[in-house]
Amino acid sequence: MTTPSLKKYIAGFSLSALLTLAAASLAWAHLQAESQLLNPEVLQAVFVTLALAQLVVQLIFFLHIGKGKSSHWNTVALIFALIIVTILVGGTLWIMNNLEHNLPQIFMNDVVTPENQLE
Amino acid sequence: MTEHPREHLDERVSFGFWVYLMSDCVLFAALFATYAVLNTATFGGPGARELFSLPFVTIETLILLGSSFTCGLTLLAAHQHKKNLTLLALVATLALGAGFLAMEVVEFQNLIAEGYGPSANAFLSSFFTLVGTHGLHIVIGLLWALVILAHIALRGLTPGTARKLLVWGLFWHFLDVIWIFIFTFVYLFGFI
Repeated sequence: MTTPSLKKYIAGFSLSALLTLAAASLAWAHLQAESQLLNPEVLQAVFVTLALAQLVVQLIFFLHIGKGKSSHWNTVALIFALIIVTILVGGTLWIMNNLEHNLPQIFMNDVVTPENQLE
Repeated sequence: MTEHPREHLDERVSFGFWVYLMSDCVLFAALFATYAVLNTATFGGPGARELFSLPFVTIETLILLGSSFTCGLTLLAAHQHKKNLTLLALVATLALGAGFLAMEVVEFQNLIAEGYGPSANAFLSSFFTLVGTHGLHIVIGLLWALVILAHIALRGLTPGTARKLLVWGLFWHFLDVIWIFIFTFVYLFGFI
């Protein structure tokens, strides 16, 4: 393992806290705003970017990815896991959205209510 | 194996645990995918925007982040063979972790009390499963930390206890990483 250092932990914590607060204040501004501040797609993209940035920060500063002798295989396992995660989540959304798209309106998740559900 | 058998063992053990963590990633990915599909299925009830509180989850997130930081300090103190500092940082991590868990329990209790429990609709089922599974991991992490705390207090910072701490540290940091995505995809996306 690599030698942990105080500087790294402080840097990791500050960056993570900053990214969290940035995302939260953006969401807060969005909730408070009378009209839409940013359109939802842009806001989603910003949130995902901030989350990914924080993932990288924590992998580097807290989990010490990319340092040490055996770390090569840790990184390989991580990349493999990320590929599986992408296939799993991406594939699920693709298939389910496609199904929803091809179903009559009544079956769509967001319009099923106690009143209009099928017996 | 010849020069540094202890470091070699440390690396082997932490790599094995890392592989477990990666498989845990896949478990969470399945729960995230389920939530992503079902988060609009509110069965006429209120959605994420009405049910969740942004300041509440932001504080919750910062507390968990703080515990990840003190977890790092624990590993650092152990690395420098400072036993008391290690114990102190570990207790701080436990306290912050318990605080996070308490907030989560309060949130769940409030939702259930208002009639929005896991059986209310598909959205809430997937929400409770995803966030509850993370909470369960936190419970296990806290119990694990208590055991390590006892080990260090009784046996001191031996190579054995230091290795236990190292592996637990990986687990705790990993839970913080998972929480970032819960914070983003469940809460922040819910407020859009």
